[in-house]
Amino acid sequence: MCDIPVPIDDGETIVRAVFSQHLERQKLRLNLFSDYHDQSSVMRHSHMGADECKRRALAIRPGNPDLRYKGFAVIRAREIRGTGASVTDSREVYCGHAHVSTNVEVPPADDPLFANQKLQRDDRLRELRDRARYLPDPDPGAANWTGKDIDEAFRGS
Amino acid sequence: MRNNSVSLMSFNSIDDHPLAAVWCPPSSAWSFAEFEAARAAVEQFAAVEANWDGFGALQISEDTKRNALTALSRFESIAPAPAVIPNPNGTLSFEWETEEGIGHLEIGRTRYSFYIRPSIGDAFLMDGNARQVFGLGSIINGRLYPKRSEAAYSHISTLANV
Repeated sequence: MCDIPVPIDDGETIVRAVFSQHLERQKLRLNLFSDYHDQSSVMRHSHMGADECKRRALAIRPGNPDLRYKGFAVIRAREIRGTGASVTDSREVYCGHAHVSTNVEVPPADDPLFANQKLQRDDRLRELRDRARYLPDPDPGAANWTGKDIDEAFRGS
Repeated sequence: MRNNSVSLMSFNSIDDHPLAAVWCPPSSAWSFAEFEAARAAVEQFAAVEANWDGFGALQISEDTKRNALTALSRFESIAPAPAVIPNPNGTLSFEWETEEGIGHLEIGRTRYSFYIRPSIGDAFLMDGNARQVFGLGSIINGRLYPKRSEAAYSHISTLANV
């Protein structure tokens, strides 16, 4: 039984697990919120807490063994919505799970969008990336989160 | 399939000049090692199976890999090595970023899409057949790395006028 409210409040902190393909020299890449079905998997940190987010991040098993968990990207729900993207509860995956959708054209299998559509999509992804804050995990192998306090990441912004 | 649609926006180019050829950067100006690393990245990303990201990403096909390696070979004498990024829909992206802006090329099984998003001004868009990625290296070089060749050209033009 999941007792988190279904609507995601604008002020909620949303966490995206960051893996090595999302980083270029410790900076978040354009593909941070890119997903084949345009439903990138995120966590409702405001209801789950950092340790549960870490546990869920470590449960993700990329098929490419070279892709490693690196930390969290944190963003407020209102910041997601401010770009035109949406964040929606998807508790059927697990309690606290949500999806971010760009709400722009999704690329087909095996080929890119045409350039004008791709630019629109990439601009949306870029804006989402620019609003997210990267918190590296100082101890990726540990069971619990030992990095910066997640809510501290929003101080001063 | 659209063929090589090109925006009407003009971009920097060096006029044809007999002395300009002297100042064309040699291919070794951009590291062979960097291009080797880019090729290795393409091979590595194409070698893993579907769901490489843990969220259902498609495998990079042999066609896409071949197209990407061919495109890289065409950039090698003209532009710096790009960052190579796999995409969840099974394509590969090459990205260049400087103070002048961002260049992004996505290559798939049959098509490519390309844009320059300059820091100032309108975007330049182009797409076409993934097996025929021609001319983009010059565009990337001219739009994102203009200073070296422009300064060199100005210098040699001044010498020619003495």
